[in-house]
Amino acid sequence: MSAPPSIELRGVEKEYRRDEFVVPVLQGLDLSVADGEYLALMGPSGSGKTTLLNLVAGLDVATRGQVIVHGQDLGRLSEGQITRWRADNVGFIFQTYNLVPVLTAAENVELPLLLTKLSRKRRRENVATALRVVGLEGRERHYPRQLSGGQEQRVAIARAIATDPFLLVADEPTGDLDRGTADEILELLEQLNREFEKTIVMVTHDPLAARRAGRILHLDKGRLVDDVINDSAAAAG
Amino acid sequence: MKYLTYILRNARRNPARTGLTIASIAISMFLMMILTSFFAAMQEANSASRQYNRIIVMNANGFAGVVPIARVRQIAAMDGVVAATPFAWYGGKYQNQRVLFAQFGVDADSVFDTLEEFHLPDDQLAAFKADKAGAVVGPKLAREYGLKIGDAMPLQGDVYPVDLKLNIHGIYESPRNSDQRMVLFHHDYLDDQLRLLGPSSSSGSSATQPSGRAGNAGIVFVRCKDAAATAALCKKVDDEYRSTDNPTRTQTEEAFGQMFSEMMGGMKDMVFWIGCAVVVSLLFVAGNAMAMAMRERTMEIAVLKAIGFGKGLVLTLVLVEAVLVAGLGGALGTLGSKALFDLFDVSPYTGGFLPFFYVPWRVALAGLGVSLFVGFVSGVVPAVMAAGSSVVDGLRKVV
Ligand SMILES: Nc1ncnc2c1ncn2[C@@H]1O[C@H](COP(=O)(O)OP(=O)(O)O)[C@@H](O)[C@H]1O
Ligand SMILES: [Mg+2]
Repeated sequence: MSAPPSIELRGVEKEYRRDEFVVPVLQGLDLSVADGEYLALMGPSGSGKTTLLNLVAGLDVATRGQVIVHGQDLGRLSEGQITRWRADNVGFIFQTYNLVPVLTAAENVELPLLLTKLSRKRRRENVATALRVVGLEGRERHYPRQLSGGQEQRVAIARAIATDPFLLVADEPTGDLDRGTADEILELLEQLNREFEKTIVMVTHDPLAARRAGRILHLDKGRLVDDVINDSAAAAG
Repeated sequence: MKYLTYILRNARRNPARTGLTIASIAISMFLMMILTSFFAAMQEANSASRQYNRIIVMNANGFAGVVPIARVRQIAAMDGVVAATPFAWYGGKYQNQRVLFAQFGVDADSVFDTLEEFHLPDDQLAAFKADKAGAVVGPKLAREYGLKIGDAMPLQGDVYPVDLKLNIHGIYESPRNSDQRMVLFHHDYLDDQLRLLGPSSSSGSSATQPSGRAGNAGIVFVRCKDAAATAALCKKVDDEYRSTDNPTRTQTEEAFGQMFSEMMGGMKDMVFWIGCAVVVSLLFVAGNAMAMAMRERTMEIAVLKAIGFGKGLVLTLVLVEAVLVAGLGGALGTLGSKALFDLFDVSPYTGGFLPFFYVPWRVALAGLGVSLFVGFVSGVVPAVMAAGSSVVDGLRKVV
């Protein structure tokens, strides 16, 4: 792949301070991700996967080094700017879906659209499109408690793609789902990557899930220990 | 505002908690309305009396002293006076009960000229004037006791050792914030009965000796021709009687009413401090409810911030929610009490203590304002906490 790097990490370190103790979480991380890549991030618990995802998604800042996305050094953005940047560029998918329980499926998907200048009509259209993409047309008025786990995760994915961000970050998106449902969700992510050319960074414990990604990274104790191109996924795609 | 759906749903998220918050604010505000309206309504009626250009003559020693009846005519003849009438408190029983309405001996010929806001149809007024034992009653009193024109209304003396056998000839009309539960009868009739008991002492200091009241007017209501005349007439009346046995104290009707509310000055202060205590406790109630709501939503707020909701927006959402909840409670308490007392007349149940009671608009709106303020202040701490909370930490709570 010769596409210009979409996401670049240069010498990234992340530490947490607890009183006098400094806990190093990520160390000497260099990484380059192209637009449209589908990355799986694996590693034991506590190895720093979520921390890395947070850096890439602009939720957290590196202690040292740079996180550069589309030429923008995220560390240099103010809090307001980075918030705006996330709204424009990143879609979030969580293990526990994290839908707003008092809002319907459609209203949940509309949340990120409220931050845009789109008219009410356009917002409704975007919501309908996003729900159609995730296969939930007809469920607009359902509340999260009226949906199954898989359906909730679909709503969460619809919310993540509603503003058409280029990057999707997913932290163990199938961690709470049974095998069959998990496969459906993974299918959907693959489709978003293939058809809509979303760059995806997905944290997972599940080797079957990771196998769907085009590239698999392994973290251990805050270091990148493995970085392989997954030919089987490329072949499948 | 496109975020309103989200705010409203959040407010309804925990209906029991929100309901309790609303109820505590509503009930507190309701009680505050009663306490403050008591003074405010009195004050309002007082200030309203200014337009009638009336002055009130009483004995310089206060209600213990008397004003000789002959002075009513003397004062009425003064320059700048339109009309004057005695107002003598009878304080009798009706149907063998100590009654909860005012009965005044007045001058039938001048009372409705003096109290220009009180109206009586001409034929009723003529009938009232023609019968020395005649009386007119207020509309509320007539309604409560089922009194009609032509009815007899016997009153038994309680303060005075004489009974009055009154005949009702009219039912007057008067503004809402006036006493609509009075019985007005001929002062002469009472005076005649008192004279029959024996010679009156003219010293006038014998208030404890009721028969000594014959020939005395109680207080005198005087209507002046315009506002400019009132101050001069007050002075003129007092100067006139300064060196008599019964010097007078004359003041405008507003000042007279003010005198009454000043008697309750201590109570006013107390109500103010009660109000402050109520506001402080409501701040804790509403603030605690909002803080609990925020704690429950830590994760959700982190998600909103992750997907791009800025600090300012989160702050605003929480504040608006707090203000809405408190505002709803406040509106229920203040506008509810206003509507209730507008529809439902409590005067019969106050022992004559409150001839009229209502919640003035400015009191209701001030109460609503206080509620919104309570909402805002109680929301500030939770809102600042929510806005400043860390996204990363908030998201970790779930995983
Ligand atoms: N706020 C924090 N303060 C201190 N240590 C933290 C904090 N957040 C995460 N850590 C530590 O950083 C390490 C990596 O965490 P994380 O990125 O969540 O790992 P993973 O997602 O791979 O399980 C863990 O040891 C964790 O305890
Ligand atoms: Mg993790």
